[in-house]
Amino acid sequence: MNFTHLSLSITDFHVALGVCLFTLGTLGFLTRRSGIIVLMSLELMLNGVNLCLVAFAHMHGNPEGSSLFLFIVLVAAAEAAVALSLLVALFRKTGSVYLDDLRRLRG
Amino acid sequence: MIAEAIGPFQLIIGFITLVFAATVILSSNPVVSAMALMGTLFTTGLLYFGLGLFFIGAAQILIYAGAISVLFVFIVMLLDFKPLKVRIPGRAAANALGGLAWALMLGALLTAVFKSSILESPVSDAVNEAALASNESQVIALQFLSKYMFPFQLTGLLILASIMGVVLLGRPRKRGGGPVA
Repeated sequence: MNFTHLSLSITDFHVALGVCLFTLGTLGFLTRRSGIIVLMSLELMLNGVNLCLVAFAHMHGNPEGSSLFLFIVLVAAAEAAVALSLLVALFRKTGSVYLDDLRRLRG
Repeated sequence: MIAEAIGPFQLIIGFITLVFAATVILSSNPVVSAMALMGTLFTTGLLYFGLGLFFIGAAQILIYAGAISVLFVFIVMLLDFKPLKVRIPGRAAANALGGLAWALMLGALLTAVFKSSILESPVSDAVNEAALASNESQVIALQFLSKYMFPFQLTGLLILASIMGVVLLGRPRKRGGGPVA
């Protein structure tokens, strides 16, 4: 892999940053045990995808990227609200927010 | 005027964003994680400002960093974090495997980004770009009220449904079968 011949354009920079945020979120989603940090990792992933979307929209000079960005933010807000209330309900039921403690579905 | 090259502003803000994102993943204290999440979302908003997209940056800071991450902080404060009840054997090995998978995925995605040809030939439309830079919020409003009218209303319906779900899930049950408050 030879990256030296590339000059880092503004789109490259933002897309690479979005990729880094997305993969960091994936890592947290897969390895952390606390449910609330899993949800925060989900927000990180959405944020990285948003950054890539805005960078590509900026590259093409297309204003529709901004509209899609707002849709993603609204859906992320709804998702966070429902997921966090599910977490609170689980905490009331089991007294724990750690996903390793929630193994009773395995039977 | 849209900047076409990255400057020290973008580099510094991008570095801070990555540090905050790593803190979200690595911190053992959930309050620190929540504050770092807020920082990540805020600095991402600053990056949108750097792109000249001021409405998007303001929306990111107001909605994401201002509302969603405050929701996370509230939930962290609402729940008390006790130590794990169950210790699953082999968790450290699973974490190491996860780190390896992360490194592979990051390498593959970055290679895909930098090796692909999509970034080399930007199809730039000068008229659209000028419209985007000057009155971006007007363009978004026009799209929301014409082209994306139906999805916009559907989003409102989605948020209404999620609010009703949250109320239903958070309601304490009187007796029998429900979650014990």
